[in-house]
Amino acid sequence: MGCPAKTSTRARHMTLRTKIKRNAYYDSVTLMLLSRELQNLEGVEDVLVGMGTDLNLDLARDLGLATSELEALTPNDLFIAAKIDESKTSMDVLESAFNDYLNKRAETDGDDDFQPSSLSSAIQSMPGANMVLVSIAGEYAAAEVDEALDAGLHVMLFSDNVSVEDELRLKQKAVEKGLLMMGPDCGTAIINGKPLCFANAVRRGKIGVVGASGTGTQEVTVQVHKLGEGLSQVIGTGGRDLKEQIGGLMMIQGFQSLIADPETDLIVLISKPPAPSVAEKIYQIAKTSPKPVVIDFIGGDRAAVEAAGAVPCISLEDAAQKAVRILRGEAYADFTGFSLPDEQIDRIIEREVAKLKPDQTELRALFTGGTLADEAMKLLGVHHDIYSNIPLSPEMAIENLPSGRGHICLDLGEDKFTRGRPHPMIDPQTRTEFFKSHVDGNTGVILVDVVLGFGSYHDPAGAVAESVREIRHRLAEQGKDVVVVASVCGTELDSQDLNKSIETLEAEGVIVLPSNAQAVRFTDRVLQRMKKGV
Amino acid sequence: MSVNDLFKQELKVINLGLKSFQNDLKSQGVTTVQVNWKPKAGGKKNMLNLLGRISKTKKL
Amino acid sequence: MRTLNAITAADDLLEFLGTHPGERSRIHSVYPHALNLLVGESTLITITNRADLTPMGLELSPSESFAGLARAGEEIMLGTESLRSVNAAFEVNLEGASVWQSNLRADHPPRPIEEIASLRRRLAGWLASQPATGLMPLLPRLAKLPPRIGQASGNIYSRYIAEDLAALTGAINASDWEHAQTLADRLVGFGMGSTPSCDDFLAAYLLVLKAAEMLHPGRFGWVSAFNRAIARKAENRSTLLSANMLRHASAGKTGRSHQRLLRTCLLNVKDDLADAASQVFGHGASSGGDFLLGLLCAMEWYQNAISETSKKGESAWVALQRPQPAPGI
Repeated sequence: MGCPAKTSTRARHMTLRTKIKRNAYYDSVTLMLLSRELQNLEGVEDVLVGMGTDLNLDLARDLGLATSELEALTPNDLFIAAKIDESKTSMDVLESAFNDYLNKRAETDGDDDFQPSSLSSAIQSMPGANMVLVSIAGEYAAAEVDEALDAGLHVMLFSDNVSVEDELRLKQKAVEKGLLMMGPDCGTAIINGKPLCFANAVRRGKIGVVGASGTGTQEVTVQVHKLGEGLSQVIGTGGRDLKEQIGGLMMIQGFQSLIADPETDLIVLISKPPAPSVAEKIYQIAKTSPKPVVIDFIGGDRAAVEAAGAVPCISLEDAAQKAVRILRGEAYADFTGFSLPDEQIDRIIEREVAKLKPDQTELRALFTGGTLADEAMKLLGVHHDIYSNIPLSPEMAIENLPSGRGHICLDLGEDKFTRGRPHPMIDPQTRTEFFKSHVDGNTGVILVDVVLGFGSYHDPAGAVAESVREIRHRLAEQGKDVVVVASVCGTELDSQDLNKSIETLEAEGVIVLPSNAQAVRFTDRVLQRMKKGV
Repeated sequence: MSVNDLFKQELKVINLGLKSFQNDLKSQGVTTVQVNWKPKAGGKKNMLNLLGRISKTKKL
Repeated sequence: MRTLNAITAADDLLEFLGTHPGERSRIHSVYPHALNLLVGESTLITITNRADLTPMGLELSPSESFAGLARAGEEIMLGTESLRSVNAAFEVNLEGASVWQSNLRADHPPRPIEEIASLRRRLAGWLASQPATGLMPLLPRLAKLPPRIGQASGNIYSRYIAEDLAALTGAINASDWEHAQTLADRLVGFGMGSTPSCDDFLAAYLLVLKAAEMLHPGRFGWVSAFNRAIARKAENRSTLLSANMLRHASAGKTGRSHQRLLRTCLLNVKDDLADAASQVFGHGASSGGDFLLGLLCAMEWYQNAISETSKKGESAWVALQRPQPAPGI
């Protein structure tokens, strides 16, 4: 089961316990996720959840988890068979976790609060409603957004699978009515200081952001907060907004509203490079903006931004740094380095690379945030040949990886990896599996992002730390170690706690850098140092 | 009510979909209401399995 | 009394109701989108408010909700015009419901053999790009594909059953039916879920075998006996839901989306393979993936079986004119 060896003192305290639920019917994904939840509880060494068929009971026996209570089971009964340390937990705890988990998953109808059964009755029941947050299946979303806009409400559209035609039509309607239509596929916004969907807890302040990239927006807000400033409004546009067909309608709408907002003193725009006609429209607005504008069109045309009188950026962190400096009236420059002095960085790199054997030459970068993965590819992909599902060129697509050898950087939140399973920011299991399957004796350096905040898993740092433990243990059997680099996108106000997350990672020997850009830059230096020879 | 008007008001959110989003808003003291949403009767002619549709189908 | 209207009724259910008038059933289980009734010891009737109708099933409009309708154990009276709860809280009205055919039909010629190989490759490629749940981590091994990036290392169930599953597919490919039956003893009832993974895997085989029998009359005469023998194993060794599913599959009966996929694979019809596969994949969490894996393996058998010369087929048929399922060719 992949558990590290236990010491004999722990083994002495292990007891086998069984819980049986008669005539219980759950789908297999529920049971699988449930098994994992139970496996992760403190004091649980091993657990198997399944229907009481003969063969499943055989498995329980072979795993050393069977007790006499299992003998009486019928195939229509559910069993939970566990090996637990009774000084740390009990079957009651497991059962309670089991029930809690199922209740959470039930999308409960048994809610005490009134639940109107349609948008229109909801609008009637809450007269002051000003925003609708839509995360239903894409094919139904457009009709609901239509209704919301008709009723004069702003919309945050988290759903994807909405057609381009619908997006255009809905955004045109929204613009006509002076409303926000953030999305489709919009994961991050903070309106009036309230995080929506995936967003971090950050202080309020004078910097306004309009972003077409979820985790890109998150990183910028987090960096602004770290530097001691705050956010007035953070508006999302959805990933397709700046394409030709949509024409940047929401970026423009958001941009203009921030120019008009008395609480916003400086504006930051974040996106992948827009279609040229769309970029042009934005530059026109920037030229006449009375407030300073910082534009991070990730990897885009620097000169064009400058010509528009706006400030270009080389990374998300750089965008935040410049925004803060300009707000404070300080001088600014491209931030290309590290928070720590160069000599210290080099010392750390020397020490880490010294741990490696000559055949440990490969990078494994596993990201949960798409824009953060993008930032990594933009820098690392230039200096090294990186295979990826978001490659810089078609021949570097991950499918072309020569028999598993080479540098790899994956965006695990991309469609291919999230079909039928939760996004890796919500559930770390996908990345945990990739750590197991993709990290081996040829891996020299691992790079990850750890995203905190609303919507994210309750302990992403813990999940990474656990995986790092497993990897180091596995490689130690070959007499090897590995370099692990991370950044944590979060604040001390997030429920997952930035400082605690950093400590958890550092306790496992992970090198934690203060931003994604620095983590990527650090990894680049590690790779260059590795090339020179250990 | 324009975007700039929204900035001056207290956010009041109607949530259509994932309950976890509503829970997060509630935890921040935002007034919200959850819609117990179902597709309209006779909505789409070809009523396809919702789960199968949430993921994009990849063309072979 | 609340009245729910059935839009569609499966033909086998209507026949059952006609031959079991006034019989009582009990509510077996309630899901957000389905209700199962148990008749007698082991027959299930499934009422759903989604489009995926199953054999012995009824389809209601998606706007009908099961929430708070009934609890497990309540009695429901069966009739050809309606199903009525004994405490008169609700009834399901069958009048006006369209009839749906629950079994595979050979209403088109079979897909030409030249197309089967490429279809198998496309299906394998599609499946390999999906998240690997249930038995799917065994895809590279069972479909003889090179291991690909993105394949998880598997789960406790898939690792435990790998050898047994490989042995079964090997026996079937070698037409060693008796051995395959014995091997199935190691598989029926094994795996996660209310329909254990291996049962879903086997269901795909049973359906392909049945289809082969229908599409190529005279060549696969042993299928009925083999299928019955496999399905019978589930009666005591697996969940009720699974036993019903395998019983139906052994007779060539399966749900709407599965029928569509099987037709796309085996008949000479025009359809979107990825779309059909997605519909099945999204069904019932990992059940769809396990079924698809079984389908892929069964298609390998099918392709080899129909490309054998007809002379061989004839002699095999002659050799099989015995009550027991025969040893392989």
